[in-house]
Amino acid sequence: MKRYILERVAYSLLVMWAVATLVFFMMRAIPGDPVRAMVGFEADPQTVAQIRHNLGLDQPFLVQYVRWLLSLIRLDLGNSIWNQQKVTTLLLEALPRTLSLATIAFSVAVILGIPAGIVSAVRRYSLSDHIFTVAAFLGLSMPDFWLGILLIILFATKLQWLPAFGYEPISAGIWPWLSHLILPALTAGTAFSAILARMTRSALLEVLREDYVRTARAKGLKEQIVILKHALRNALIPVITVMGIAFALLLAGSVIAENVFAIKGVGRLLIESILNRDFPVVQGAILVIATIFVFMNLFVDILYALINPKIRYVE
Amino acid sequence: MGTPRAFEFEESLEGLAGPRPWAPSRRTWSAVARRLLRDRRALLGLAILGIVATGAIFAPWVAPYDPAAQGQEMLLPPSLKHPLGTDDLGRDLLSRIIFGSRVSLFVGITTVLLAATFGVSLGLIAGFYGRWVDMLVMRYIDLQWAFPNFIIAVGLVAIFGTGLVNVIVAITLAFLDDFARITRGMVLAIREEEYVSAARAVGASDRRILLRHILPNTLSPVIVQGTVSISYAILGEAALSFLGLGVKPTTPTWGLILNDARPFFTTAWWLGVFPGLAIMLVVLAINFVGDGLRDLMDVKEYQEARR
Amino acid sequence: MAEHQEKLQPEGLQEEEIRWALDFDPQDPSLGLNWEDLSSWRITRRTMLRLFIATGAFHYLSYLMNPPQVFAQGRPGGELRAAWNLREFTNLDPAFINQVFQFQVASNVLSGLTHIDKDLIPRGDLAESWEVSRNGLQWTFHLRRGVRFHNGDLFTADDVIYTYNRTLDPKVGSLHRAVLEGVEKAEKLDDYTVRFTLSRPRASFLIKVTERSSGRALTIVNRRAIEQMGKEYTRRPVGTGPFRIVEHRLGERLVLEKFPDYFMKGRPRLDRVVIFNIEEPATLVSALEAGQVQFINAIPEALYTRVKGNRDLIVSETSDPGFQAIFFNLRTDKKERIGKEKLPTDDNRVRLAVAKAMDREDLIKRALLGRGIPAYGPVPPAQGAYFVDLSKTSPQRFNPEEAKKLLAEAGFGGGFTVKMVVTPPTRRRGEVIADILKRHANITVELEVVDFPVQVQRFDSGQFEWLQIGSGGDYDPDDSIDDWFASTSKFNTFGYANPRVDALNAAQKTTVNPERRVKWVREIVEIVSRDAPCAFLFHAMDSVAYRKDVRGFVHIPSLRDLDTVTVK
Repeated sequence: MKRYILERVAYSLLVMWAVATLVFFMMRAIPGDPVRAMVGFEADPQTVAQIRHNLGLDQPFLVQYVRWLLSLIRLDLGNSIWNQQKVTTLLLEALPRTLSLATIAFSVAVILGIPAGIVSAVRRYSLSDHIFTVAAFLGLSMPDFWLGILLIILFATKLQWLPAFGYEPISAGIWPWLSHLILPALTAGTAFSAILARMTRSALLEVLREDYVRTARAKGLKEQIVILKHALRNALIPVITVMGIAFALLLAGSVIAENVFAIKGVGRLLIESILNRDFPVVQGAILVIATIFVFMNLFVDILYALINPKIRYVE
Repeated sequence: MGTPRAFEFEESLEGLAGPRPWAPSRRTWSAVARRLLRDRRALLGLAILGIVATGAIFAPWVAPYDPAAQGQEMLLPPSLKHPLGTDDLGRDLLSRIIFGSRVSLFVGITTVLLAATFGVSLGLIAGFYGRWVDMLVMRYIDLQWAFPNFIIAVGLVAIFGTGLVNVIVAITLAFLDDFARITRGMVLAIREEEYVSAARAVGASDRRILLRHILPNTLSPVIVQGTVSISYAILGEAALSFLGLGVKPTTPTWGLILNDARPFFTTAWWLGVFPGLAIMLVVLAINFVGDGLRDLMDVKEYQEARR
Repeated sequence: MAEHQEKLQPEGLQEEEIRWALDFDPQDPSLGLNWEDLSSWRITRRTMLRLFIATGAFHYLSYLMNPPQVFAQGRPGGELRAAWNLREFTNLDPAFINQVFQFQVASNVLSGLTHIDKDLIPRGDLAESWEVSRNGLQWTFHLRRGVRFHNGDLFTADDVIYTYNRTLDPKVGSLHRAVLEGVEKAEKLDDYTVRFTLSRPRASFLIKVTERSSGRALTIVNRRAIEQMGKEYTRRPVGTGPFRIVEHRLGERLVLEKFPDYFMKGRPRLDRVVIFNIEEPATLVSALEAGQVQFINAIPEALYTRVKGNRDLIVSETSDPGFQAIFFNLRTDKKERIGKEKLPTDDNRVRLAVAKAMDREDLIKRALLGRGIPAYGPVPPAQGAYFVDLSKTSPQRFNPEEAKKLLAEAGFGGGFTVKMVVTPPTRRRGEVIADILKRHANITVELEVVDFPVQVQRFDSGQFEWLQIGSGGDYDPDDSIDDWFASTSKFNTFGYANPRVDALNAAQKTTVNPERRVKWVREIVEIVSRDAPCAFLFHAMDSVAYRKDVRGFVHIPSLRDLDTVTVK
C-alpha cells in the first residue's frame, strides 16, 4: 500500500504539471489581452506596451512558460496582473473561506441526503419515499442562485435570523463564522444532498434485493441490523464515490453560492480571473484545485479498500 | 457473500435473446417495451417525455406566440392571453419554454448519453484491468477534472467558435469523469466477487465478463447519475449562453430563460417557477423511466412480480 | 422627519432658486455674466444656472440641479455600513484607477487640488485659491497649510510635484499620463505655491487635470507610503482625505476610519465606514432591506421599483454624466476591418435612418425600466451649460417614416442585416435595440456577445460592424467630445473624421472664454448628431439608496463622498 501511495503521489505531480502546462497555453489561446482588460479603455498604446513590458508579457510564450515553471519550483506563483497582489496571498485569503463553506455544505449534503436515501429505500414507494423523491428533484431543478436568493429573503430580510451576506473568519467566534455560512452552505449543498439521496436509495435497493439480505431477514434478525451491518456497507461504494466528487467540487469553490453571498472564495477567484484574463491567478488557482482533486481521488481509493477489503490495488 | 446474480440474468435473457445479451434482438426489444409499459411510473415518465418532445418538434405550431416577439406587455402575470405570463421584454413565457425545450432537451439528453457511454467505458476498463491501465485512465480523469469546465468551454469556443456542437462537447467533457469514477468504483468491488472469478474459471473472455457480468451490475448508480446530470446539463448550458458561448445568444433555452429572469425573481415569480418546473418535470420523467429500466434488468424482481 | 422629507422635494426649491438665478436683465445677451464671473474660474452655482438657462436646457433642470440639500441634523459619530455593487476594489491608487466605482471609494481617502461639487463646478480641495494668467497658460495654486497625510506627513508643494512626476514616469505605468499632455512643467514656487505652465490654454484644466476624482493625474499620493508599501499601496492608499483605510480584505470589505486631522473642520462626521463588496444585485438590495447595510452605491435597474417602493429607504438620483450609443464602424480606410469592404452604415443616410428608427422612449422604458434620458448628442444634461437640448431639432430624433424614406433612398428599403457587439451585461439592452430596429426599419441586428476583455480588443482594433458602448464620468465637455469625436481622439476607433469638428474641438478645449466654449461645444454636438458616427441612445441615471437614518449625503454625480454623512 505504501508503495502504491508513493506511486500515486508521483503520478499526481505529473498530472499537475500537465494541468499547469495546458492551462498556461490555453489561457493564452483565448482571445482577450490581460493588460487591455486591466486598463480598460483608458490608457494609450504606449502605456499598455509599457505595462506589458513591465510584466514580461512581451516575451515569447515559451520564455514566459519556462520562467513560470522555474518560479514554481521556488513555490512562487507570481503576481496577479489584475491587482498586482501575490497569487499565494490571494489564494491564502480565499482558501479558508472556501474550506469553511465546503465543510458546512458537505455536512448539509450528507445530513440531508443519506438519511433521506435510506428512508426512501427501506420504505420504497411509501409516502415518505415519494416526498423525498419530489424534494430531491426540486432541489436538482432549482438553480442554486434561486435557492440562495429565496433563503436570503426568508431568513435575512423577513425573519432576520441570519446575515444576508458576507464571511467572518472563525477567529471572530464560532457563531459569527457559522451564521454567515449556514445559508450559503444550504445553497451549495442542497443539490449534492439530492444526488446523495438518490444514490443512497438506489444503491441500498440494489443490495436489499441480494439474497443474503433475504436470508438474514428470514432468520429473523432485526431489520435495522440487517440494513446497517450487511447492506449499507456494500451500498457505500457508489455513495462514497459521489461524496468524493461532491466534496472535491465544493473545495474547488461553489461559484454561485460564493457570488450570491458575497464570499470571495476560490471559485469566484478562479472565474473572475478567467474573465479578467489574469493568467498567473488562473494558473495558480488551477494548480491548487488540481492538487485538491488529485488527493481527494487518492483518499477515495483508500476508502474503497477500507470499506471493502477485497479491493486491492497492488497485486 | 454475494450471489451470482448475473448468471440468473443471463439465463433468463438468453432464452429470449440469444448469445449477445446486450444487443437484444427485435423480440427482446418488444419484450422490454412490453414490460416497461406494464410499469405505471415508467409509463407516466414516457408519456411526459413524449409530450415534451412533441412540443419541441412541433414548436412553431404548438407555441401560441413567436418566442422572440417582444411587446409592451412586460412582466405580466399568468393570464388567459399569456398562460404563463410574459417576461421582462414582453415575450410570451409559454412560447419561450416550448421553443426552449428544443435546445434544452437535446443538449440535456445528448450530453448525458455521450458522457455516460464514454465515461462508463473508461470506468469499466480502468476498474477491470487495474494497475497501469487504471493508473493511466484515472490520471487522465484527474487531469480533465482539474481543468475547470469553464476553461474547457472558453477554450473550445476560442478554437472552434460558438455553436451547438461545442456546447455539447464542453458539457459532455464536464460529466464524463463522474460516470467513469462511479463505474470504476463499482467495478473494483464487483471484479472481486465470486461470480466473476467463476466466470473466469470457466474461461470466459474479458469482453464477455465485462459486458455480461460486470456492466449490468454497475448500471444502477449510472442511471441515477444520468438522471441527475440532465438537470445539470440543462442549467450548465445557461452559464455558457450567458457568456455568449452558448448556442446563439438570443435562442431561448430553459437555462437561459432562468438566468435572464434572475433580477426579476422577486417581482415576477412566474419567470423562475415555470422554466424550473419544466426542468423538474423532464428530470422526474427521466428518473421514472430510468427506474423502470433498472427494475427491468433486475430479473428476480420481475420474476417475483409475475408469480 | 416629515419636514426633512418635504425639503428634499425638488420642485419647490428649484423654482425659488431659478428665480434667484434669473435675477438679472433678461435683455442682456450675456445674461449678466461678466469677465470676473468667468475668468476667475470660480464659477458659482448661480453663474452655472444662468448659463444653463441661457442655453435653453431649462426643462432638463430637474435631471441635473439637485436642490441644495438641507443638512438634516444628524449626530456625528457612529458607523456606516455600506455595500458597493462591485467585485473588489482592485486599485485605489489613482494612477491605476480606471473605473468610477473605484474612485467612489478613493475620493473619500484622497484629495486633489480641486474637487467638483454636486453641480460639477470645481472647488478648492488642497488648493486654497488659484490664479490663471490672462493668456491661460500659467496656473498658480496656493495650497492649504497644515494639511497632514494619514501617516502624519505634512502636505507641501513637494507632494504635488512628486505626484506630477510619478504620473509621467513610464516605469510607474500610470493610466493617466495622457492627461498631462500639454502641461509643460510643474514648479514649486515655495512650500505652499505650485505653478503649472501649459503649452496652450486648456479650458478643462480644473476638472480634467487637477480634480480629485476625474483627473486622477494629480490626485495627491504620499511618497513615503509608496516607497514603504510598494504594491500594497494600491490596496490601502495613504492620502489627505477625510477617511483613512484601516483594513482592506480584497473583494470582501474595506474599513475606513475617521481621519482626525482632516483639514476641513467638523468633517468627516462619521467615525467609521465599513464597505462590503456585493456583486449580486438581489443580495445587495436584500442586505439594505434587512438593514445589514445602510447605504448602497447603486440601485440595480431591475430592482429599482422594489427599492423605491420601500418606505424605509431613501433614493437619491441625478443624471449620470455620460452617454450610450451604437457606434458604426466607419473605417473604410481599413479594408480588413471586419472582412467587409462595405457596410450599409458607411452611408450617412443609413446611419441617420438607424438613429431615427431608434424609439428611445421605448428603449428606455423596456431596457432601462424607465431610468434614463433620451440622448441625441454626447454632452449629458449633467454638464449644465454645455448641454444642448436636441430633442426637438436633432436629425437623430425618432421618426420611423423618415427612417424608411432614407433607407429607401440609400437602397436599403428592404432593410439589411448587421452584427452588433455587446457584452453579457448589455445583451438585454441589445435585444431591445434589435427589436426596435427590426420593427421600425426592418434592420436585422445579430448580437455578438463577447466578454469585456474581448470587447476592449474588438473596440480598440476596430473589429466590429456595430458596437454598443458609451462613456461615463464625463464631468467636462472634453470627456464627451475631445475623447471621442475628433479624428485623433483616444476612443475614436470607429473612424469618424470631420475637419470642422476637429477645428472646433481644438478651439473649444483651448479657449479661456467660457461663453465661446459653450457656443463651440454646442456646435460640435449638433454636427456630430447630424453626421451620426453613432446613434445616440440615452444618458443614464445615477442612483443611490440608503436607509432613513442616514442623513446629509451630498450626491455629486457618479461620486459617493461620505464626509458629510451621519447615521442617526
